[in-house]
This record gives sequence, structure tokens and C-alpha cells, in this order.
Amino acid sequence: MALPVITKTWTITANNRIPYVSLNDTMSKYLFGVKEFLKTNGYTVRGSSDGVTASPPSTLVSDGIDRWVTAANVTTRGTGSGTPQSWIVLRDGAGVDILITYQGPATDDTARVSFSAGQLFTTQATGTFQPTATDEAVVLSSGSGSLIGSTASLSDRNWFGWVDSQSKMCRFAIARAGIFAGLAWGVEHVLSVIGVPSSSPAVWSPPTWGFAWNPGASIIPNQTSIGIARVSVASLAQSVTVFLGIEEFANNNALFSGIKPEFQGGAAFPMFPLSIESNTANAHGKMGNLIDWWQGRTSGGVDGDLYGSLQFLGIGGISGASNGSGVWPWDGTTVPVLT
Amino acid sequence: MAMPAKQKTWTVSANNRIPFVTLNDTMSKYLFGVKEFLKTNGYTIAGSSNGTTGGTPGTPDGVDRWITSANVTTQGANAASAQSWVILTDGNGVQILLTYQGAAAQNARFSFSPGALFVVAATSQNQPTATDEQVFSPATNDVINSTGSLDRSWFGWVDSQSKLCRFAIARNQVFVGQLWGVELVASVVAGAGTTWSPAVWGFALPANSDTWAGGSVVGLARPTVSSSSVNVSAKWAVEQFGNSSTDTSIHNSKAEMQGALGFPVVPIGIGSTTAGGQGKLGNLYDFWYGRGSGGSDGDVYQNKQYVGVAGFRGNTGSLIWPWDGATTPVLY
Repeated sequence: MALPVITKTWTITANNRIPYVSLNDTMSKYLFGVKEFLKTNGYTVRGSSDGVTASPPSTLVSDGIDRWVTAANVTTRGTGSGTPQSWIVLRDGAGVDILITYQGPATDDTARVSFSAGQLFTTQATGTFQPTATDEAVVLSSGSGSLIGSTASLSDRNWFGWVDSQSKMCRFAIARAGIFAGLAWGVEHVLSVIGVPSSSPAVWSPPTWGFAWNPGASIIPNQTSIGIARVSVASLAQSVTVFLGIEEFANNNALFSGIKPEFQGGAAFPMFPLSIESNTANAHGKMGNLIDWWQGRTSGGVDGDLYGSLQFLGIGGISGASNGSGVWPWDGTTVPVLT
Repeated sequence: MAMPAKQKTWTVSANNRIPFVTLNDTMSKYLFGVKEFLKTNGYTIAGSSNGTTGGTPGTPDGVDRWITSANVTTQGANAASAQSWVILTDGNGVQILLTYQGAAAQNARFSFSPGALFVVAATSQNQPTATDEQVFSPATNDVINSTGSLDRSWFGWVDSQSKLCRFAIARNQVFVGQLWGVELVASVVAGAGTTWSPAVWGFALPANSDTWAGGSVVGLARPTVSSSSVNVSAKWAVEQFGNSSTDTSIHNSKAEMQGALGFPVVPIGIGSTTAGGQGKLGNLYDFWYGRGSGGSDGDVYQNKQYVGVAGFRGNTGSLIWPWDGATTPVLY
């Protein structure tokens, strides 16, 4: 099958190895690395907390100070929103504020990521506590599972990051022991189909969603939901849970994904584009088409498979629990190291 | 949801009532009406049999022997028996064979030859044959519904280039028998030596049967793979919204994300799982999946520009075809 055209220009950081010391050490270095990567690629710091000092209390997060100077500033995990924690708010190219905070009730392998499309993150009376926003959409939290993989043994990690050239899309994944582990996640621009026709009272601006999924588990076909978005329907703003959509053949989403179809040239496994939909009450319907995200082969692949001239990477389970069945862009040169 | 733009310009023949006399009478009038409709809209007669003669064996002679429906009453039990048949050539250069064949009066047999290769049999009133024939509706199919009572009304669609045609027949307020047609497809077939030209499929699906859930074969095509022709069975392709439950829920809702104007209308494609010829074949023209439940055959949408025909997922009216913008469908 002819390879799909990559729509965006991506900067990819690959094979960022974190030698294992402790889960807290791994998490602090991962989150610090994510921040540095985003900051280097057009995301701006709106405010932060190193767990001890933070942006001014009870105000909009806007002092612009990056207190995550080293990974040591990202070691403070709060057990809940009302405890000191390392957090940072970054603004992307779409004007969406993303909050990354080290939070989880019990173990050092969980964190919390959310976004505010209205740039509304505000510090609490104690600035080191988790900021809040009335339009906050929580992408992942401790309830989503381990962000970095909970296993302590043989536990060096390699993390990977993607940012598009307009700083409107970012996605991350982390690997351990040869496969992607923890959660793959991101906050990204979507090709929206909301508000068509123009008379529609549905608004999604900017059309950004956040997603997180365990790459070792299936999304399609028995998915619950994979992400969240914030939309306004008939002037009522609400957060909606989001599902993946895909063109299915004969009631089977994987019918052609494990073969090299002759009608598409017989040379490669298909890559099918993905869409997202909402089944939330009063906000049903297709939301948009994902950019540079495909379902690839659904059997026989492994995480880290490369396609084309190293332009595409197999990542995690989109369909079934088959590693490598999701496909993201790759940089054309690097061999991914997942161990 | 806003209705999708139509890709073709359609002539629709609607509400063609056939008062019930016998199943043979209904079938003869239906097939005769189909022939007349196609002939009026750019399809040419390649040959025919009135059950008594089909002209000279070999190349069809171009004569239309279906002068009235009385010429379409001869049903053959099988290929080697006298029967009423007609071969029409469409705008793709594809020949379509309609022949009154089968064990019961409600049966008929429809096929096409992409290479226009039909040959009249040595006994000319027997069924013609073609080496590349695709029998998309075999003689065992119930075309008009076997119930020996009540009037029927049939409906036909032809595009302005005579490259697509489709038909449906109704009885007692619902579509019955077969939805069928022979149509050009927007092909996505590609690869060295892999072609599909003309990109035509024939389809026949039982009205109000769920042809999606079971992954049913709904049509046939004959593309070329590695420079060799291959007969393939076609199955549906459609974008599914989330899991089956959320998909059903979304299709049962007037999508607020699209203005709550109507139920989602999703285009349909086809793919093949035939060994040696697998993959997506193409996207159908003006052929959609509409509301998941609560619809009825004959529902019209957006100033009668679209009509709900029989079941795609077991729900009446869930398949959407174009409509003429004026007529109220009457499903006698």
C-alpha cells in the first residue's frame, strides 16, 4: 500500500534514556525532559512550581517563571490537588495551556496532565498546590494508570517526544524492556468537522483534544474512550469523552490490517487514518480527523517497527493488543531503542 | 447533520405500481419496466430473447424483443432452457444481462460482463454466457418477494452518464426482494499490474437484512491483479464511530456536533477478502449509511433530496440513496 502523506512537519526527540534509580527519579527526569523539549520547540512557560516555591497564589498562572531548572525540581509528588507538588503550565501554538503536575495518591509512577483551552489556569491559595481551571479537561491522572510503567526491575526507560512545527501538537511515549509502556499521551490539534454547516451552534475552538492510552492494551474495537475535548454546543460549554473511529470492512476493523492487500499494491500493510467522535449526551457526533496518526498492521508487528524510509513508527496497541498497530510519524534516520 | 453533496446527477423513476395478478405477471412487468427505463436513459440494447427466439447464436444482434411485458413472461428453470433475457450496454461499456431464470416465479438472474463478452447460446433463447461474467444476483434470489398477493411499486435510478443504475421494489410499505444495481465506483485500486477498469461492481442485497453485522458479500467485481483478472466478492466498508455501542448511539442521534440537524450520513465503500484479490476496492457514489434505528423505508430528507431505503444494519431506512426533490415515495 502506498504510504500515507505526513501532513505536519515534526520534530522528534528519540531514545532519551533514563537509567533506573527509582520511580521518583525516572518520573522527575521524564517530566523535566518533556518540559525542556516543549520549551525548546515553541511552547512557552506560563508558570510553575518546584514543590517549594511557585507562581503567585490565587492568580492566573502568568508569571512566566520556569522553576523546573533541573530534574531535581520535579521530584515533589502531591497526593492530591491540595498538597505541594511540582507543576508547570505551558502554552502551545494554538493558545491552549497545558498543565503537567506530579500528582498521585500512592505511588511515584503516576502524574496528572490537563489542558485549559481558555487559558484559565489559576493558582490556589497555596501556590504549590495543583492549579485549577473552570474549563479544565483532564487528559490523564493516577486513575489512568502508571505514566511510566510501575515496574522497578530492569527499569531503564527511553522516552520519545513529537512536536509539530507550529507547536500545536505534541505527543509522548515511554518504553521499557523492548515495548512501549505506561501511557502514550498528547495534546493536539485536530481537523475539526464540528460546526458544519455554518448554522450549527456547535463550536470547538481551538480544536484541541488530549489523549492517553496504555499502549499495551487495545483501543479498537472494544474501546471505552481515549481522550477528552472541550466543546460548546448551543452556548453550553462541556467536556466530552472521545472515541477513536476508523473505516471498518465487513464489520471488522482489522480485516485488512494483517495482510498486504493486493488492491493497494501488495507491498505493505495498510495504514488507515483515524477519526474521533463523541457519544456524550447533548454532544453526539463526529468531531474530526486525527493528523498523522494511523492504524497499521494488527498482527505480527512489534513496537518500534519502522516503515517506509524510517518515516513511520509502530507504537502500541490500537487494534487488539497487538504491539505496533498504531503508527506515528518518524524522523527518517533514527533507530528507536526501546530497551 | 448536513446531508452530503450528491456526486452524480440522477434520473429517478418512482412509484411504478404493478397491480398484483400473479408473480409471473409482476416479474415480467418489473423487468420490462427496468429495461425501458435503462433504454430511455442511455443504455443500449445489445441483444434479447422473448422466450421464443434470441436471434442468431454468437454475437448479440442488438434487437430489442421485449416489445411489451408479455415478451418477458418466459422463465427458464436454468441456463439451458428457454427464457426471456435482455443484454444492455451501459456508459462504461459494460454489458448487463437480465434474464428471467429460476425455480419460482419470484426468481430472476442478473449479471454483468465488464468486457462486454456476452455470447448468444446455440439455442438462442437460452441464457447467454460470457467468460468474464459476474453473477451478482443468482437465479435463486427472491427479487420481488415471494408472497402471492398485494401490488408492488418499483423504483429506478440512473446517473446522467449511464454508468450507474440501481433498483428497488416495495410491497406493503417496505422495500422487499433485492436492492440491486450495476455501478461505477470511485476506485482506490493501485499497484503494478493491478487495475480495475472499468471500475464497476454489481450488487444485490436482500432488503431489510443486516448485511453489515455478518460481514456479508453484497456484490461482485472483476479487477486485475498482477496483470491477471480475478473475480472478487465485495463487502461493505464504512467508518465506525468508536465501538459498536457508541456507533449505534451516535447514528441514533441527531448529531449536536453537526448542528443537531439530522442523523449522521456516512459514505460507504467496498473491499474484497477474496484470496489473491484483497483490499479496499473503492468508494461508492451517492450511497450512504444513515440513522441507526427509528427510520422507515421511504423516509425522505432535506427537501426530498434523499430517501431511506432498506436495511443496511437491519433497520428499515438505514441505507440512504438520492431522491428527486419532488416526489413522495409510495411503497404500495
